[in-house]
Amino acid sequence: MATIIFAVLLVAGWLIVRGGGRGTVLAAWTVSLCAILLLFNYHVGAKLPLNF
Amino acid sequence: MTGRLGFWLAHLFVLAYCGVLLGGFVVQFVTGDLPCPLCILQRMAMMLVAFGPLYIIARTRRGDVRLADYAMGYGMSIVAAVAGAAIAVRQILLHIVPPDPGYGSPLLGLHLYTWAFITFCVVLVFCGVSLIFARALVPRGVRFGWPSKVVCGLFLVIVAANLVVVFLQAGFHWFLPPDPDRYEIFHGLALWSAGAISGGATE
Repeated sequence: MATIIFAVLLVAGWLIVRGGGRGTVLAAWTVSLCAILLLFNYHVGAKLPLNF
Repeated sequence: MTGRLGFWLAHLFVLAYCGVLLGGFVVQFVTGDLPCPLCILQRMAMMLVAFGPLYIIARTRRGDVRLADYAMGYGMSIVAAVAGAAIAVRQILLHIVPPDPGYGSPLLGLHLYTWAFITFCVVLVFCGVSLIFARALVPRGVRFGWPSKVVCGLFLVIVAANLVVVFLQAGFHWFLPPDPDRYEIFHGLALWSAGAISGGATE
């Protein structure tokens, strides 16, 4: 999953650098953010409770 | 003058995160500390943060940057920095109670995830100040020259390098192990070749 997200980030970065439109950039960035948050959610659930 | 300042500050922003991400590689390959899933997530968040100034730099390809584009760039960075800070705080809290030694080797007395949290806080302050003075700092009279190409190219190369390294680390597994101690792709290949050899011997 991390590999796929890095691939998405690479595509998003390439779109930004190539001068993509506002909507395209925002869409690519939002997809990347949601993917990262989903993976974060999985790892929060998989790891033991906080060490308080 | 301030228009140029805003342009070069965006370059400095991206370069600073390139340095941080390269520092992560140094720790990974020189000291041999493999990044855990939360460390990888923080790297991703750093890239997402850097997309903001990268967007501002790239907009100069089309001439002067509009105030809306400038605000959108740093707005993206702020949202991503909040997400990154949440990930870093999660990892800090996992190791906060003594005698937990923390994950990985400390650098200048702090673990890398604590440094990551500090960088996200710095980003929040920087973006806030940049947006306060946005009208003055919007890039004007600048062009997308070779320094911009170098900075953007370096950033994309670092993202690509992370893609390769995380593939080596995760192999064909869907998720990274919680406490990684080997590159799964090499381990998997070794098992595969051993299986192929033993399979060949029995036939």
